[in-house]
Amino acid sequence: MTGGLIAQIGFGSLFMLTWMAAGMIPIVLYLLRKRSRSTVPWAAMRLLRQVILQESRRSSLQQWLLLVTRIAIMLILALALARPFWGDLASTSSLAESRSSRLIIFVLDTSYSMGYRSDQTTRLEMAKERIRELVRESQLGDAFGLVVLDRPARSIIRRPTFASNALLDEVRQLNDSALDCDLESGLAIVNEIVADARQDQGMPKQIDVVILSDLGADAWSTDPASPVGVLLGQLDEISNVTVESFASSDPMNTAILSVTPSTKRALVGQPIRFDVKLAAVGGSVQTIPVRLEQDGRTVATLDTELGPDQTIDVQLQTVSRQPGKRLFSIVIPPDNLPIDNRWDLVVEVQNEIRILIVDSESRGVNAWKLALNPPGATVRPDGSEVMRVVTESEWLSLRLQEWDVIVLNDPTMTVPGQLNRLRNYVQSGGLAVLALGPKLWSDASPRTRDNLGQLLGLELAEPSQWGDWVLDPLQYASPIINVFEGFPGAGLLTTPIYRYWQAEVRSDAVVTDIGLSGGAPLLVRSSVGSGVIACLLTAAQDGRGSGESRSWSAMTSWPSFLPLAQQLIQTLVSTRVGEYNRVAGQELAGTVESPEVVVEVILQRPDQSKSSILAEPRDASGRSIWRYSRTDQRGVYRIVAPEDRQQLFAVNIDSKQSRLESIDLSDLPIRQDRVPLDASHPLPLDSDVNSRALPLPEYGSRLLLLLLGTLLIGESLLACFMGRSVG
Amino acid sequence: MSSLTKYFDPETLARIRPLGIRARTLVEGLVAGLHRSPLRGQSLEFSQHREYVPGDDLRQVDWKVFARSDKYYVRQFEDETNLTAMVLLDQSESMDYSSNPNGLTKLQYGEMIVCSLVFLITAQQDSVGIATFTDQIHQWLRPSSSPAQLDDAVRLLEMSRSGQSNQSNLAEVFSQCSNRLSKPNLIVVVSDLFDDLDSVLKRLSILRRAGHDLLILHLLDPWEQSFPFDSSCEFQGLEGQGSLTADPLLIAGAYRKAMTDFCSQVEMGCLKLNCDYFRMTTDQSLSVALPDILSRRLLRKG
Repeated sequence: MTGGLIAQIGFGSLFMLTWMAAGMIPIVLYLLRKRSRSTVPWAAMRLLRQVILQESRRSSLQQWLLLVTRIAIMLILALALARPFWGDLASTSSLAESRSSRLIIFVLDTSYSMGYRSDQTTRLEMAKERIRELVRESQLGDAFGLVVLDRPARSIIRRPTFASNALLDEVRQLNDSALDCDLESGLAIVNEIVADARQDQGMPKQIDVVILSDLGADAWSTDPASPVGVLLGQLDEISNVTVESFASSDPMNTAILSVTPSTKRALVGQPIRFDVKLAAVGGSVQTIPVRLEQDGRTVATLDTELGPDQTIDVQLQTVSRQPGKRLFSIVIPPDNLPIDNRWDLVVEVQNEIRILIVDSESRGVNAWKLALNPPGATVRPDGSEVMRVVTESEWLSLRLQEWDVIVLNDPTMTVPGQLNRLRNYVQSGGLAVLALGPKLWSDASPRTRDNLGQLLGLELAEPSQWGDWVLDPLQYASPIINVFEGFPGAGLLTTPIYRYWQAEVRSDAVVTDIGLSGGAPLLVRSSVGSGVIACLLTAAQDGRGSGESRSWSAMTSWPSFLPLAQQLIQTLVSTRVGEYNRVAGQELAGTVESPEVVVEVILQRPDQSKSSILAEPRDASGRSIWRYSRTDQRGVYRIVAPEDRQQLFAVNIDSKQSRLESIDLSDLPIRQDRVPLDASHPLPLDSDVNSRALPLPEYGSRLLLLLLGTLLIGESLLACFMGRSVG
Repeated sequence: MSSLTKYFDPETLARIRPLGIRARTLVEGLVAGLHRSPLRGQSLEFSQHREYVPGDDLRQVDWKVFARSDKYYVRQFEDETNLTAMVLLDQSESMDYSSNPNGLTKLQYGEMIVCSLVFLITAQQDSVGIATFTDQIHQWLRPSSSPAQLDDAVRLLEMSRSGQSNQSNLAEVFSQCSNRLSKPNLIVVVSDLFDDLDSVLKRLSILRRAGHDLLILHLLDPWEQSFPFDSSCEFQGLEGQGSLTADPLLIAGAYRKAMTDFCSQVEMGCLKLNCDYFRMTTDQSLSVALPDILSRRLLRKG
């Protein structure tokens, strides 16, 4: 080396050097100990004198050695805390710049739009490479933090580190997720980190926040008054914010925005239709082959033309011949953003819908049975029933989970435990239809009626006056009655309603499907737990009787009853909340029946990795509920253990980022004092970045820590040796 | 408490009395008692004949039996003599040490031993005398088997020690003792033995050669063995040896080793001289320690 080494020593945290004063502690203790001397008369002076003569030199040496070691421990600990660094002037160019140390907080967008591929490299890879480049340019004594923006935003390095290698390791492990960008919470986290760093004496006072994102319009805002704008402004006040945009100037993407099946619970042999919404961003008119796969096998294909920036709807249809949970996938050819080129759906295919009708000896039961009776026999070859009519007391002893829908017409709700059983059944994913009539008024107690109202999300008042009430279809918005739209002669609107339960909707989970002309609800649906319960606020009867036994309606003898009853069941089945299809970031949940108190569920993720989940303790019905929230990958999640409870879940993206709309960097409500990185320029890939020598600050601290460890071991051995000689 | 009873530990004496005291080597006595004589054949009490073996004293051969049977037999006699014991008590300053302010000093502990022995020996009709010393013998109570001997011993022990030297000189004391005792005696030495060990052992060997039976009771304070100090101390010598400052934590190990070596050397020296050695600490109960010493001595001597 021609110039020779001109060493320079500095400290990352000079304040910590004050701890070197602690090196005086062993000396003070030593002196205090020497001063506090007591006088003792002694008989065996001859022996004592002989021992002192022999031992004085050795013991003094040991004592001094121990003292020096202890002082050195305190001094080196203080030095290590001060994070020293050193370098040679000849080779450290940054010394010439002589700038002070910085805290650099990298905020990296890892939402799925960052997976957009441009020039063979995704936006995320470019952003990661940019971080490596900035780290290479960093100076000795710089500290680093790392926050990722997906949903929810997370701090990967919350307490800033001076170890750049640790930062680079974390950055290397980051992948684009199927989640979207939660900028608001991310900026809140960064604000907290900056505030903490300003309080920390050991942290550099110059704080730079570098945000690397594609500035998706779904998350970013140019409005300074928006929550994101306010947070950005606050951050800009207390730190030097730099936003580097990785948005492409002319992105091209074809995406599946959504897929809606005609039913989420289909019957074997029944057609299942998939409504697919496709969108194109940029490019030119193209012919897109849209494939429908069932369990990985293509069952339908449709070629469709898609123009630039156009959104179209296409439909594909298939028939499933096998019962069980079937995986359907809509697939279009992969492009620059492959994650939105596939959409998975799990549809439960059943041989039939099993219906349990609970009879309270009302006059409408037979009509329900006739309306809902499936074609063919009600008893299958294996002996199981498709439909069954039981009394109110009988149904308490049945295993309700075996039935898809339970219909209670004009229930008395007087059998003990009946309401609780109904609640448990619906909460665990069951479907129920209640037609409330005179028996609830005459037999049930007010408390039972209140409890039932709570379950339904209603406040049940009392039956209305007798009259001729007229139905209000509420613009036929409900899927239950939209089949009647355009068919006024079908009889729905003329259905005779003489009396009904006056009720007021108390919950947002309640949907009114049919009303009465006065504005009162007549047919409502409410989600309870994982199930749905529909309530007809009048008894479905045949219109006979007089006086007190007079019917509340003549629904069952009206021509609209059969389609209404069947649509009601179909709607309940297809809108069942017990979902197997989720958006990335949403929680997966299921139940396991096991005699064990603690049940372990193994979930296989789309990348084939497996996660172990401990189910919650059993509930009153003996089932354990498991939950899994790390749905950050798009694809199929499978329960692989316990083997008898195999389940499929499809997780898809929230497609709002697929249009790849970005805001302009110059419109951001921050100071524009930094030239943004031009994403079109490929960055030099330096694969050797991690093989370079350890950064000097880290090296100095590690060396001191090594020395400290050696001294501590030496002190322990010395003290042990002296203690043994004492003992 | 009277001056007499303070030296009596009733529990101690009650335990010792049934054990008695027997000298290992037979001491020639003036009064026939319970003790076997070392001078076989000189007693009037004939015991038995046994066949002659090479090495037997020819003077013990019974020639009359030889004349009758043409075989060599030797005569054996059973003689019982009185025990005469002399108890020497060290009264140097080092014996005034006690680590426990409420406990006994080594000297007080030794006085208790002396009184117990006087009582026991006189009670079995044997003679006992006592002597106190520092660098020389200061008080000398001639051996006597009189019951009043105990009172005399107590009075002697309570006499003022003013004018005495505070340093011990065991070698000189043993030399003086040897000169004063004309016949073999049981000599009991009660001391902490903090003196020049070589000269002490040398004098003991002279006493042993003079036929005296020796019983060394080595008194120590428990702290003199454990050295439990944990802060810097100035140690002041009790026998005018000046003071020493030291950090006990640094020298405690070496001190304990030196003390152990010292005790071992004393014990080995006594063993070589065929005299009994017992080490006692002042925290030991006399009612336990003294019977233990006497019973062990009895077992050892047969």
